[in-house]
Amino acid sequence: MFDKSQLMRGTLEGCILKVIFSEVTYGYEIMEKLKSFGFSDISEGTIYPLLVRLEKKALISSEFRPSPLGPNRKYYFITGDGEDMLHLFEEYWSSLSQTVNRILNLGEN
Amino acid sequence: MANLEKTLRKENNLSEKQLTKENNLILTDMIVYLHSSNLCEYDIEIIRKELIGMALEAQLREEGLSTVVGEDYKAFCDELIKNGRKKTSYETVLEFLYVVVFGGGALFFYEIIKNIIMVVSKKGLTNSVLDLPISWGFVVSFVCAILFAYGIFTFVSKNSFELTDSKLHKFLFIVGFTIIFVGIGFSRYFFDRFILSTINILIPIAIWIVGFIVVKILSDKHLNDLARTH
Repeated sequence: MFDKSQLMRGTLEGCILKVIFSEVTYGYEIMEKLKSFGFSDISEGTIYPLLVRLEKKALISSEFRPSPLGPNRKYYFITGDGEDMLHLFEEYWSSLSQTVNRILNLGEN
Repeated sequence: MANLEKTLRKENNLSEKQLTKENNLILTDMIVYLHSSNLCEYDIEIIRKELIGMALEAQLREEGLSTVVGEDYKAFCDELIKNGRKKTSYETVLEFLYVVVFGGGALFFYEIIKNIIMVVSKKGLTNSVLDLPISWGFVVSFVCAILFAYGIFTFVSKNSFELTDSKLHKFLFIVGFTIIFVGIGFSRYFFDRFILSTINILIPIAIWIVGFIVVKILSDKHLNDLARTH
């Protein structure tokens, strides 16, 4: 059976960086945004370990801020290294997706 | 110097009280399991704060913690362990010293108080009350207690999810604990008559005080540095 998780992991990291690049945000909101773009299977539990990983690699940083719902939320910001990584991801993804699409279209024309 | 990790832990203990019983149980198992890993202690407390926040928000949306982190809590924790910051060698040494100072100190204080009571009850308040005989029984039980305490901690933390659910794991834990307790009692009974040396009780007390101050200062400084840069 096709294992989606391996393909998702690396792709999600790039997408999370893009979401955080577009605005300072927190875990639940990142998940909602990713869902709205079509990542329907993900939960906070999927992205939280990735946020921990991105923070460990200093690609994002964070701070706790009060939330209107009660408990403090951890808000994430992208760092300079994170922006560099995002640009690399965008370039690589563009080239990779074109390549994969060409291969998948083999025999269809 | 205040320890910022303690402050964070107190905050977390307070917030945790707002969790439902079910979420509280799940979260406790998860945190205990994370403690079996080589994740940095301060980071575990930060993760705890975030998970409590996620669980509380889920409660407000009338959802369970399982809808947030999935049904497989162990797999979720393994992901965190894989992706989180690992303890440095310095942090490992500090933790070891902390256990030696507090665990070893507690055993020595028990020995000192037991000895004082025995001497006073037999001979009254004389100078010999300051003499602490170090027997083979004490040495064997001291080493065993430290090793077994570490073993129990490892067993409980690595099996936190199973201990909550499985009766066999609970049974094994109780049997293991009883064997250790009885074993230490026997070693004291049989080996206490073999005295290695007699020392003045002020020596271990002085060593403990110095050790306590050094470990506390180093540990607090390191944790506060971590908290500031996190």
